[in-house]
This record gives sequence, structure tokens and C-alpha cells, in this order.
Amino acid sequence: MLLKAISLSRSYGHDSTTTVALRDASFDLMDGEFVAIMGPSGSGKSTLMNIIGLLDRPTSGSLIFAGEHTANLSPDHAARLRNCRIGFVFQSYNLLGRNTALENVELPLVYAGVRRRERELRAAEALDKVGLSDKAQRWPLQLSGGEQQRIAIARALVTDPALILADEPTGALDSRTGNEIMALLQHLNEQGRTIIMVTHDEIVGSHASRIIRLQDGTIIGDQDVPDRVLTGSTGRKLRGWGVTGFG
Amino acid sequence: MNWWEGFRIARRALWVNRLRSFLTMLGIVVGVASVIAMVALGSGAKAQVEEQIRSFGANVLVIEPIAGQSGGGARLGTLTESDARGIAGLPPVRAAAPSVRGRAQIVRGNRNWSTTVNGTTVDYFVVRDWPLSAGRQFSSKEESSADKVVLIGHTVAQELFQGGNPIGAEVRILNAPFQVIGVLAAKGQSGAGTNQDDVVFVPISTAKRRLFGGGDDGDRQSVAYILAKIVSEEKVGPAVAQIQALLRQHHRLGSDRDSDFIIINPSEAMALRNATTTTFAWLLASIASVSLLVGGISIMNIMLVSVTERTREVGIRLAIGARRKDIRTQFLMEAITLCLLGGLIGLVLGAGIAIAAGRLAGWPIFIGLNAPVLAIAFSASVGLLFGWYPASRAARLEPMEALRHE
Repeated sequence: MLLKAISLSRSYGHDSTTTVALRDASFDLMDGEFVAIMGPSGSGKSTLMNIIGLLDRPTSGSLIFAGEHTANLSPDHAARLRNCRIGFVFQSYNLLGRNTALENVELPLVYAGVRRRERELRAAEALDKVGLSDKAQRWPLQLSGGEQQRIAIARALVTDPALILADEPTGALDSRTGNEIMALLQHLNEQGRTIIMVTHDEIVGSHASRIIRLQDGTIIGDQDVPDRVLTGSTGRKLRGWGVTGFG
Repeated sequence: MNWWEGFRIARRALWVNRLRSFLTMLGIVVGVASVIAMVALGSGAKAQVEEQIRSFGANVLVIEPIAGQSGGGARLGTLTESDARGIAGLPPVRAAAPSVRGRAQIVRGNRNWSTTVNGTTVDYFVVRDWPLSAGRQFSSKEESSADKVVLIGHTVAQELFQGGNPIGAEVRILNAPFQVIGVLAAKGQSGAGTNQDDVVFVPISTAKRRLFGGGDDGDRQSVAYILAKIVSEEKVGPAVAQIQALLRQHHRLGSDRDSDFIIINPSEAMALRNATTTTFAWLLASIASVSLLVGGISIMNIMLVSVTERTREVGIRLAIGARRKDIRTQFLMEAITLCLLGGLIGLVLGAGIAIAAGRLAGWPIFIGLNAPVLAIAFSASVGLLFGWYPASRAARLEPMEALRHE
């Protein structure tokens, strides 16, 4: 088991103005799963995501990540786990505009203390995995939204993390580009990578193998997806990306 | 993340906002420039004083008579050779030399040269640490029998002999023939700017009897001044008191009478003459401290702006694994790099100012290895001091809130 959430709750403010963002959320996550956390905005899915990503702490309940209790992690230890065990993909890509594509992908390795030469090698490798080797020296603003998100995925992959957390990864993209990103995530999942994705979009969510539904901070559903969309089934081959799917 | 990575990030961030970076470092530039100019002028003035004192002789006191102090009759010569002998006998005094002085024409063949003739004893050269470059000193026989022998200064030797060997040659002083027995080593300019090598020395007895001889025995005893060499710097104070007491007793001065002599410490006078440059150095020091303070505040101000502007960047970095101290290092390095760059420019500017001031005002300057060390030390500490707070603020950001920041 990669992750176990036990009765996670998170509330903001105090006394009379307390708002509960997450209430008693419990679930297990096995290695190799592709889970979509779904719900309307304000349902607490981002809160849950931040707690899983060790960016936030639950008010109560506990989270066991890769066998470690995360309740009393020091900030530095949490940073270390985020650095090498978790890869983040954000809705707005969150690339550093003053750094080239390659440097953005290198960044987690900088904080992991990897030497420059090896860093560049591994970053180039990660760029190759997302099919953007030829854009390594571009600045983020010279790239399309889909390309930027792929750079961000390469950055998430570069430390070879156990878990990829994707927060509305297609939220800022048109549907075609969004599909490409989903194909990429599915491919990574097929290779054994565990993925948790937050989305409010049913179509995007249906790419996952399991959906956890949230409403008003409470888990109201947790089930496998029987009619999972497999991007490969359209038969379209992705550019620079050899996925043909199962169709 | 190490400091070098921090520097790489800082370099890029500063380059992106180059105009802002330049304006921000101006305070540091002016501050460090003032420090460098101050030190260059200060150490130049100090070196000059030291050189002047060394050239005059260290720990030397000059005792001169004061005219008209002893009652009604104005007698010039209140100091005597026996006073000098008395002073020489005091414990803190290593040597004392009485001296008389006059100007005279010196002739050698068809060349002549007007110079100062100084009548003194061998002790004079001990007092002033003044060796011979050729020849020998007065012998005691020559001193006691007032022989017509002369030691000539470097300038006089050049003027009269033009590279020829003066030892053993005959020169005429006030028409009397003198034998040159030695040439003094060159000493250069004095603190007052006169040429110390334009002088000749004869035994004091010779000067009195054969050159500037007076009438009565009192005048024969009197001297123009006495030089006393004190054994060490700490003993100068006690020596002044002891000489004072001794001479007052010798001159039979009651407690109601003023002294008829004055004891001068030339080292003090020389240090005083350099007060102008010292004042200027202090002015620069105050400019330096104000500019460094203002420069530091503007660094802090801009760093706070920079942290706010880049809150989201900090969030991204924290999310992908930066520790708090990595963030602090990054921003601290940015402040330090900014300051060091300012310090470097300040170093060049300050050296330029010092050299220009030295040229224009004729002040001595000295730019040593301490200048770059000071520039780096000052600017790096300003960066560290004023960059710490903004950097710590960046490091304290909560990753989630920082990521949400627009």
C-alpha cells in the first residue's frame, strides 16, 4: 500500500467562524492505481490533495505515506518527501518563467542535491519521455499550453517519484490538448506509476481507474470505473509518443 | 541547495531586473567608495607621518630657548652646552646634542653653494639616526681642538663635487679652509618640506670659535637648540618632565617664573600637520556609514518587494522539494550578490576618488590589499545584515498559500 488516509479532517478559522473543508475522509491507495478525486468546486478536493501532497496538514486524522506517519514530519522532512517521492502537476503548469524548459525539469534535482551534469542528463531523459526533447532550450512562454503542461509532467517525473499528484491537469487546456495530456498520464500509469488526479470534469475523470467523489468535504463515493476511457482506443497515435493503447 | 546554486539563481534574478538592481546597489557603491577613499587617504597620511618621523628620528625632543623671558634683559642664549650635558645624563635620554646654526657660502674651486652650517657633536647623528654614506665622523680630538673639518649633506656633495669624491677635499667656509671628512646619507624632505640634505656639519667648537664666534664667554657657552633622543616612546612623557625640572633648576628659575626654554615634540607637530587629511578621512567615514546604512535599507526594501513578487515562485520551489533554508539561501545570496557587485563598483570608484583627491590636493594616498578586503567585507556584511530579514520572510512562507498567490 502506498498511502492510507484515516479519517482526515481539515477546518479553517476558529470558534464561530470555523469552516470545515474536509470531514472524516478515509481511503487506501495501492501502488499502480490511477485515482480521480472528483467533486464540484468547494467540495474539499483541493484540500484533500494538499494534505496528500504534504503541502498542508489535517486538523485531525492521520495520513500514512509509503509506510511513514506524516503527522509529525518536520518541514524539512516533508520537503524531502515532496522532492523525491511526489511529483506535482498543476492546473496552471507553474513553470518558472525565467528558466528554460530543461532548467525547469532540472529544478527538483537541484533540491535533491544532484550534480549539474547528472541533472542535465536526467532532465533531458524526462523531457524525452514527454516527447519534448527538441524544446529543451525554449522558455515556457515560447511554448503552447499543452507543451508547458508536458514540461511540468517531465518535472514531476524527473525524480522518479512513487506518486504523481495532478491538480486539474487539463483545466487550462482545450479538449484536444487535454486529451493528449490524459493519454500521457494514462501511459505513465500503465508503466506502473501511481497517479492521483483532482478534477471536476466527468470526462477527464473517466480516464482514471477509480473515482473518489467528494461533496461538502465528505467522501460520498469511491468506486472503480467500469467504462474507463482509454485514450489509445481512438487509435490516434500521439506525436512523439508511441502509445497505441489497447483498442 | 548549496550557495553556488543560490548564486546562479540570484545572478539570473538580478539580471532580469538590471536597472532596478543597479539603482538598488547605488547606496552600497557610494558607501564602499567612501570607505575605500577614506582608508586610502587615512593610511597615506599615516604613512607620511611615519615617514617624516622616521626621517627626523623617532622619539626626538627639540629644546629651544625663549627670548626675553628671564627678567628685563633679553638674552637669546639661555641654553648652554652644559644644559645639554645635563640632559644627556638623565635616565630616559639616550643621547643629547647641542647645536648652533648659521648660513654660509661654501666654496670649492670655482663652485660655490649657500647652505646651512650646523655646529654640533657626534651625538647629533645618533639622535637623528643619520648614518654616513662615506668617510668618517668627527674624532674627539677634532671636537676638542676645534679643527676645521666638515661633514657635508648629500645635496651639498652633489652641488659641489658632482659625483666626484669629496673625502679629503678642501672647501672654504667663510673663507676658512675646511677638510671634508664625510658625506651623510640622503634623508630627503623634512615634514615641513625643506631639503634636509642641504646642510653641512662642523664640530660645535669649530662653529663657535672659527665661524660664528661671539664675544664673551656666555655667548660661547650658549647653543641654538638641543636635540634629545629618548630611549622609547613610552618614556617621552617622563623625559619631558625631567628635562623641564632639570633646566629650571640649572637656570635657577623660581616657581613664580616662566620657563626660558621650550620643549618640542616634533612627532606630535607632524601628526598635527596632517590633521587636514585626517578630518577629510573622518568626513568620508561619516558619508560611508550613512550610505552603507541607507544602501542597506534600500537593499532590504527591494528584497522585500522581490520576495512578494516571487511568492508564487517560492510556492513552486517549496512544492517540488525546496527546504526552508534553501529558500533563505536563495534570497540571501541575491542580497549578497547585489551588495558584492555594488562593493566591487565602489572599490573602483573609491580608488579613483582617492587617486584624484591625492593628485588635486597633493595628499599622499595608499591603496593596499586591505582595500579589496574591506570592500568585500563591508558589502557582504551589509547584504547579510539587510538581506536576512527578507530572506527569512520568504523562507517562512507556507507552501500552499504561496502557491495560491497571484
